[in-house]
Amino acid sequence: MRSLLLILLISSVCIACGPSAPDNTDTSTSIEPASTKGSSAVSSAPETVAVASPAGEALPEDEAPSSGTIEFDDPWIRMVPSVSPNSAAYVSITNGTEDAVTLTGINSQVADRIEIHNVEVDAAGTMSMFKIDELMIEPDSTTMLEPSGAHIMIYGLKEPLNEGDMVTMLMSFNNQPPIPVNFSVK
Amino acid sequence: MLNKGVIIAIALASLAAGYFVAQSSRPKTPVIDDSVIFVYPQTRSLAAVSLTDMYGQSITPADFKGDWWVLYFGFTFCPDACPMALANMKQIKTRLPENTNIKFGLISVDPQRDTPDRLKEYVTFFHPEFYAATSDAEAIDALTASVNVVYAISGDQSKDDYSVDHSNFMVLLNPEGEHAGIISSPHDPEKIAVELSKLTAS
Repeated sequence: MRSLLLILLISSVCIACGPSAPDNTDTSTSIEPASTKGSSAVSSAPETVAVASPAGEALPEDEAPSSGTIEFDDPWIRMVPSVSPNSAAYVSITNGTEDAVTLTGINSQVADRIEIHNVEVDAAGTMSMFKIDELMIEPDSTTMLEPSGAHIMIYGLKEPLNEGDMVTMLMSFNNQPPIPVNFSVK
Repeated sequence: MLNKGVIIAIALASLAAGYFVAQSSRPKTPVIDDSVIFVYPQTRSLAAVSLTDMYGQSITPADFKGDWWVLYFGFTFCPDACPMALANMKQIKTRLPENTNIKFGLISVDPQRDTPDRLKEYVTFFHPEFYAATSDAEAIDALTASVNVVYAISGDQSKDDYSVDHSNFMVLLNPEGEHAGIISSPHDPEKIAVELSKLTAS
């Protein structure tokens, strides 16, 4: 019963919405590499259910691809006051392929510039962020982009984001075609 | 055969009993001080600087007297830490009684970009009763130093997308307007609200 619920939760997260599937109809939890490009900027949609479990857990064998996929769990963007032009986005990325993959860039129509940032907290509790050009994810491992840690930095929002909006971001990798991922604003 | 079964059953029961005895006699998890608010043994004075609040009014830290204050030092262009801190402040506030004498505010360490109007729109997005103020760099330097907050402009200030590194704890002022303690991160609103209630009631 619990695993059934988990599957329902996972399948309600829209991960691979290309131009042909801008709404939340995709029931797959993983992405077959494909050269699709994100098209929609912001669309209103019900808030995405957060999935905290490791990707792939409790999936039946026939639904869990054995290799060759990169999975995105709980992609979300922090809702900020409309006067703030910047925000941050978070997602946990699981590399299910047999090779290390490197996230080399992120693009979206909603913002002027999107960067990958890491955070350092010194002994005095001071947080400082710095840009990293790329983020390597080892085979069969998960990298969390999360609050107070490494995150996706969004500069220059072109319009305010509202709770429940879905924002498509195109994630570029060194050895994979770009992957569009839908982030929910919350 | 039956005897053997009985013996096994008794053996199992003894094992189980032994296990429970061991469990109950095992020392409980040691009690550690896991308080989320660090209260200074001695309060400290705030630098007597002039600030401009979100209504454009000129104030000094002496104006904070009369209530407990939880202040966060950040800036409105902040993408990660500040919205999270203010969202946590809102969560803390909603857990306190409506007539609480604990107030919440943001002191901007980025006066170049944070105008009163911008500050007002920013903090009231999180809660209509939140307050904000800032000042010039010199006054901010003096004020932050007096509450142990550090900050540093990072990047090219002539462009609009520079960042500001800053402390990520909340500063607690007592009703005498003195720096009484800090609330360090990560911020757990539930725990903080409980401890704040106890602290401010004592």
